Amino acid sequence: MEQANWVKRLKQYLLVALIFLLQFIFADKCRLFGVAPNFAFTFVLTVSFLREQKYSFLSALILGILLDAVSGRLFGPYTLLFMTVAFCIREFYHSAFSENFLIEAFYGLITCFITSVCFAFFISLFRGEFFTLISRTAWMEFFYNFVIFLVMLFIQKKCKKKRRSVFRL
Amino acid sequence: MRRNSPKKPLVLLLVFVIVISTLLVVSAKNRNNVSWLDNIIHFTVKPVATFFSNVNTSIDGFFEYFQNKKELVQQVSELTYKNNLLEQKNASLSSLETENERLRQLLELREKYPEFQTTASSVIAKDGGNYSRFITIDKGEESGIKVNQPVLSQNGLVGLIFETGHGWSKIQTIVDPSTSVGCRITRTGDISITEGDNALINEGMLKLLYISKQFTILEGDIVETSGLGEIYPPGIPIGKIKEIKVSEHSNSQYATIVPTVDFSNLQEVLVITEK
Repeated sequence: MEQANWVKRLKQYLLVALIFLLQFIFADKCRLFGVAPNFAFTFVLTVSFLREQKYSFLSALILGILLDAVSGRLFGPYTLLFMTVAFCIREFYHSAFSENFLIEAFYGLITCFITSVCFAFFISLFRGEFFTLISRTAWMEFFYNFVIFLVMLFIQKKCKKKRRSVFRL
Repeated sequence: MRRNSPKKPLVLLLVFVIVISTLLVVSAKNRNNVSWLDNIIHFTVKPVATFFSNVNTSIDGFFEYFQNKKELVQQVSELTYKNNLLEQKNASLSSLETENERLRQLLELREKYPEFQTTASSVIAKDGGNYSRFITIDKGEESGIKVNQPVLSQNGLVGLIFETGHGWSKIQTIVDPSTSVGCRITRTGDISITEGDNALINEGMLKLLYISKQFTILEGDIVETSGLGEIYPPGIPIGKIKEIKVSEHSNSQYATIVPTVDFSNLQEVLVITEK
């Protein structure tokens, strides 16, 4: 039992490493209209819907720190954002609803939208041009991230269903 | 109840031997003329012999097919393996050729600026974000790299060192909205400034600002560093003017520039460590 838990943990953190590599290597190559998706953000959002809160907070922290280390001039915005997302999902979703794909997708939509707008606002504090950032980057980023989130959520649900059926057997 | 006679098989065997011996003697008697007995025997035996012969041929062919197939499969497998090896070798040679070309261009670049001390370095990470364009390289302060040193590639200006540590440095590229570079239009010699832009960052372009009405710039003009800002040496290509526009907010003109450096495929850079 203990060994099974250990293997599960290992798999979970390998997945975090894989997501970071995906962000690190492929995000720049997956640009759509010049906008790159944020695989790390969509992953944190997806795992936040799991009932394993420790894992969601830890993956938010690890991915946030790693992403802050390689990108931009300020250290912290990604860590802050990912931790906030994990916290908000725990507070506003897990406390109010039981597991439901549609509600999770709706929450994901709202989170992606708020995140993109907030990030654009945060950047505009330094550079101005809030509306340019919204029109040129944020809306596309929101759409792209939401689509990837839906795919990840779907995969997560499938894996969960498969695991349940294995346990039932 | 039927009684088994122990002598019956023996009698049958004897009869059979006598018949066969008689046939043998009769057939051996005159070999020049085919006897009626030969005809009867051959007539009776032929279909059976033909049938068995055909069966034998078919079986032989069947096993021969498998034997050949086995050999052919082995040959195909050997050829596929050889082909894979050659393909791998070819890919590796192509990659080496590309790398060689890149390094040769870097060497040429180094020779182009013999007055500067430079350090070649490889790109290890690119900022996958949408609001900034930073690049991380694999050399840091141990190689003499310091903040604000200019970075070039074989095609032109990349940016400047923004942060450096042991074994890594972060480059702020020229398309990042926080970067501005003093520049000169090569054809006319007009001095201006290029700047990264929020609206152009995702198209991988930058802006040429402060274009006076006396400027006679044209689309396609080459823009290079002016050397006035004390960071970048003069004459390093920045990009090509794509379009000349009038600003929405003021009546001033600006131009969009396509950088000469392809940031998405950037692999090696040269840091000017001493001017």
